[in-house]
Amino acid sequence: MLNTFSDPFLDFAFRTGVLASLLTVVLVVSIMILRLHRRWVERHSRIFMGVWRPALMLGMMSDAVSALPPLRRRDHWLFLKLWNHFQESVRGQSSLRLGRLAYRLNCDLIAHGLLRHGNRTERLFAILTLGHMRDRSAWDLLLHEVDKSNRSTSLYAARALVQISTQDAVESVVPRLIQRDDWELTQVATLLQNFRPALGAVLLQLLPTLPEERVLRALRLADAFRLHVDAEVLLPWLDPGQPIERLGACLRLAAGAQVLNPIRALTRHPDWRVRVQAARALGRLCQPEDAPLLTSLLSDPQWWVRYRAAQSLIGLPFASREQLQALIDSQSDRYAREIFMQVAAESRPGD
Amino acid sequence: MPDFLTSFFLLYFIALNGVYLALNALSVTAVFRNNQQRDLDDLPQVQSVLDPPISLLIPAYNEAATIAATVRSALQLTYSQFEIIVINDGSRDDTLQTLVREFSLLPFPEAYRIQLKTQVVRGIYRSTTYPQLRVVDKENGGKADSLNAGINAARYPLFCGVDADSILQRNCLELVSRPFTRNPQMIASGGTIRAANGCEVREGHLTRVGLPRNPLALIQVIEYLRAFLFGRLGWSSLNAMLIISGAFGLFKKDAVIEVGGYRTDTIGEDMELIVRLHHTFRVKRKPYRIEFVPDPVCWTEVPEDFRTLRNQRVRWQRGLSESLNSHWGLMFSRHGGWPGWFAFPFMVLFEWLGPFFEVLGYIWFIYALALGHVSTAAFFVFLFVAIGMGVLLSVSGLLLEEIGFHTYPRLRQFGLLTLFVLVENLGYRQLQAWWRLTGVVQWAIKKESQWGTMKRKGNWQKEKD
Repeated sequence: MLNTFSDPFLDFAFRTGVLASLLTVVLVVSIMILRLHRRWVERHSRIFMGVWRPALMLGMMSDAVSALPPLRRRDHWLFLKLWNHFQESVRGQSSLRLGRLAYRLNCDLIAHGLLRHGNRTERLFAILTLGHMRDRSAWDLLLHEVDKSNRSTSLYAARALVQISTQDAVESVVPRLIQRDDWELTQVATLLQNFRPALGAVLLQLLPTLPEERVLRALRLADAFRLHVDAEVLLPWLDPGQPIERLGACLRLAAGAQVLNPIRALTRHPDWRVRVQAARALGRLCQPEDAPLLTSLLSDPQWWVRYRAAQSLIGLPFASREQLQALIDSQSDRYAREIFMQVAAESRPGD
Repeated sequence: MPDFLTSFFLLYFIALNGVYLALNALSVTAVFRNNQQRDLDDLPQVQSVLDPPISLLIPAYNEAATIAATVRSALQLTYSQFEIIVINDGSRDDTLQTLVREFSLLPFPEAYRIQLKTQVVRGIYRSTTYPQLRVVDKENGGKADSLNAGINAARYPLFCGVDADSILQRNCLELVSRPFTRNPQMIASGGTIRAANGCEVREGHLTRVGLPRNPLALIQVIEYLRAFLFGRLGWSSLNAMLIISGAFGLFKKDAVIEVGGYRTDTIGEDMELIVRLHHTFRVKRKPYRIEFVPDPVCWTEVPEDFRTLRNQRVRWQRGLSESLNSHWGLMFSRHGGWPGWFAFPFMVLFEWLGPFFEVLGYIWFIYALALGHVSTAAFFVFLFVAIGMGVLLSVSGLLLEEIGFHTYPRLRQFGLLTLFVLVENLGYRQLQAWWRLTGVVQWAIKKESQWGTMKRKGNWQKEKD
């Protein structure tokens, strides 16, 4: 019977309660210490910004900044964050000047240290810094980072390599862009958009030689980079027997008169995802003789096919409003008429 | 027997709080990681046209008073490409008329596509001033039905369900969609919900964060901190989060359509959907991720009177009961992983059955004390453990908030929150256990469900100057 504290079970419960109370007090004190610390950090950060923000602004505009304030060890992290913030917003000469300023403050050494011994975010900022500084001496370290499994650090390391020497980096970076499925295409395209021409050239060169399983990723990459892929390269992959996703990716890239016939054939593909892309491609390539084919797609059983076909039709530069109205009126299929009316209304914002 | 019961209830309380503390430990790591990620996210970002476009779905039922402000706030969100779809669920007030008047809506000849079955759609309107705004007017069918109609009308691959009375942080879409750009396996992500009572809102935007004067609302501030900061953050790090709040969640449309959309015959459609996504993707062995992102905040008004709060909690518990009872197959299933082997059993044992044990525990100890089965000392030890651990949990929620967000910077605010951490455990928590028990009972007797109506004060909303 649990009547006394001599009962071991009750004793355990009591001790648990005491421990919980003590921990509560510890947590409350920790919160107060954290708040005091935060206040100190915020004040220090304000002072730091007051000194370094104008200095970096000046450094961005001219190399002639003679006296830089001393960069104290405890401010290294704050400085790297601020410096990278500036770097991510500028290009060209301003970026190069900021790089030279960073060399004067030995930021390359700081970044090397962080890359070797820092936590994940510190390593990331080190990689960003070395890339913006175009630090050649970091090449091997960065190349090593590119092959690591962490998707953020590896991708930023790839960008750093391209920043340091686009010419030397493309040969090693592009194959990895094709290989690393964990590098999200949106992020790749956004991060590397300034280096599109150089990366794109190598990508287009590699495209016909790639193993089957890498073709889709490469095509999507080409699409994300908005590259022009030659019709000769795409033609073999526009065969109806090709995998659906590959056909879709090819149709997004398709351009030129040579690909028109295969695209027309693909409007009859059994998979609706292919027909959608074919309808879009036909709209993009806009030939007057494709209007009847697009019109027939307005009666497709799949909503998206009808929708894209209607968009393509309405986007045709040679079709007047009257002609389009006549086209609506001529439709006996209710679904075709409805989708056409919807897209026509969408294309007239403000009506 | 008395000894057994006494030991059982004591152990149950210790185990319940122990598991929460373990989750809290996981959350501390996640908050630190989030702080590090924030340093990187704070860098100027290039808004890419490749960012996944989002359809923002706002179901509305009798929201004439707030709907215009909500839509205006949504129109000002910063994101590269998004559309807003308000679904008027057969409101009996002027919700539709307000929208037509405020946003110059005209009937739109939409070829409405039925991917999920819903109540009859009476018409679709589009704003002539904001082409990205459409309104779906439909017969009343409930919130889940409205969301399904919104999904049918949505053009974009991701959709974000938002409550019509919520205030969204301006960059919340950018933040909540980040998991989707980082990981192609992402199928759902959810943000933090906080109590808007005591805050200042102008023209649909939060202009000042504050704490409510109403004690009941203040207690809920602490509750929300605890629920989101270590509940969801902890489970999220294990990819085992079983709920994303209906007030603010982002989903991959195809995934939701694949599992059949929102269930219309349940109150807890938000939780049920997440559990079903876990269940279906686990059964099909398809890789997926469901993530909680603590940074994007959705502010919502919490009840300030007992009656409304009671109804809300009863409804939530019924929703939980329905969600769990529809997916027993996930529990301890062969491919159940963390959700099936830990999160689901946890929910059953501590969240679903918890109110039974809590209420019975208190009753038992009072009864046993009266009959002399336990000593006064044992009774007070029980209270000491139950309340002490409850306070510890709430304080650890405050600690996480301090490490990760520092939303309430003033000393007075901290003092008030600390005080109410204590108050919460002296009566309110016990009352809540009772309400939740009522919810389970109502679920068991299958009382009819309907749209949750909430008495709103909205005195934190300031009109346009």
